[in-house]
Amino acid sequence: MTMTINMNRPTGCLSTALILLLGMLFSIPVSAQPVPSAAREDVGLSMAKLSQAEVASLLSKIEVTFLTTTSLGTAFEQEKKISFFDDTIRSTGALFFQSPDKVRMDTFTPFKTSAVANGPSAIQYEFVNGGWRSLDTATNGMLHAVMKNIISWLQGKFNDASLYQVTGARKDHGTWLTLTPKKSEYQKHIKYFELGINKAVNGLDSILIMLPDGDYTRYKFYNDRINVPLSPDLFDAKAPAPAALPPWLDPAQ
Amino acid sequence: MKPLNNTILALAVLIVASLSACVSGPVPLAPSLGPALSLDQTIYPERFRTIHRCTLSIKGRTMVFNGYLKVDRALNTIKCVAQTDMGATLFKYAYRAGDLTISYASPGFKPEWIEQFALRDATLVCLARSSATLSRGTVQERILNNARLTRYLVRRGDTEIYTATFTYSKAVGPGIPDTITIIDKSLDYRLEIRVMDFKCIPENDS
Repeated sequence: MTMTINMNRPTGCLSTALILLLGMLFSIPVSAQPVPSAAREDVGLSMAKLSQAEVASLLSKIEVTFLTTTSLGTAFEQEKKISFFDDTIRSTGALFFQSPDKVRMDTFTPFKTSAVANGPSAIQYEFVNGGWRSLDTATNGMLHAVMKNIISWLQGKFNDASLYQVTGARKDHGTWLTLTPKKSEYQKHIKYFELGINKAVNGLDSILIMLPDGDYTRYKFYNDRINVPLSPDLFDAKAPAPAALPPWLDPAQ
Repeated sequence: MKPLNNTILALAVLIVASLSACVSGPVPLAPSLGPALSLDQTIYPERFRTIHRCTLSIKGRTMVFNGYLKVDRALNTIKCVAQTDMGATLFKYAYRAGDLTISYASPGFKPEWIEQFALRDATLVCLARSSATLSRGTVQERILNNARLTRYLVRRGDTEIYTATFTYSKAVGPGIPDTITIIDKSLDYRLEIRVMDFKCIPENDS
């Protein structure tokens, strides 16, 4: 076997790639394409596909909820499948949002970390040796662009319909939307995203991030609270350590 | 389980969290020759899989990611994938007895960096033998404490240019380091690895 490093591979920016992914996430065109059979096989699901009209209706319902959410907090469980691992890797954490431009993601297990974005500022905290350590990510200029995208999305502005093929399918306990990148350059990085919509079509049960090689990460959300007061300290991106979590999502409580 | 009432928001938050964990662009790195090892010190079983929480600082910029590795020391193989907290893959490679196959590298990671740094450090940590070669005028040393490797270093004269420090506790397993700190002074490079999970793999499962 020979080394297969391609020294002529185009270089770019990691954050740029993630921005592109973000752009993909923020753009949900509707198409009448069938549900990808490979997608269903990957996660072991067999569902009846939605028509184009049903998908459009579903997206419309989801969009209506955007403007009604000013804050939220939710716990999550992450499942990760790596092709050469026999077992599923699990972690737990929580997500928080405060309109218009504050977000925070904490991981509780198997390690503790907290990422906070507040307007143009962002910071990552890591819990090491019994204490919190802040990492220098303050110069991440891309984050501001991300925040603008989030705000735009929250305002229901889906102005780029060129990136995704969106399909839908229904099973007894819910509905799935599958967002498949249209462009081959994106398909190299993400095979598809799958959003698990609850049976009442008013919320999300899960997010599946499927990679081209079959590895995937799935988030399952639970114990969420919508439009509840959240302390501003929760999103302080300049503090030496992340603020304490609300008791209802603090695993230490 | 009660569902989250905003699909888009959740996705956005996940992406933002990932972004905030990453450096904002490719870090300029000069080519560097790493150490060549012929370590006979065994700190791991023959076959194992492990999960590393990695904090990488280069020239004052920091990123965190997770490394998932499956190792067969007898066959001299490593399979490795590095991902962000969100689940985006940074790079993925397979190494077998001197041959490296990179199956994926995100736009932020040059494949040569994977060879020069990620593989160099993984082979040192997991195989106790490095994929890199010593540069001229350097020597390597191992420091043992109670028959355990606690420090590996490469010196040029009196100057330590590359060090790996292994610390142990009972958290991971007997004889298994729970933290490995690698410093390459020529690049202002510091990689702290915390071992989050470690499992031996039976021979018939490898």
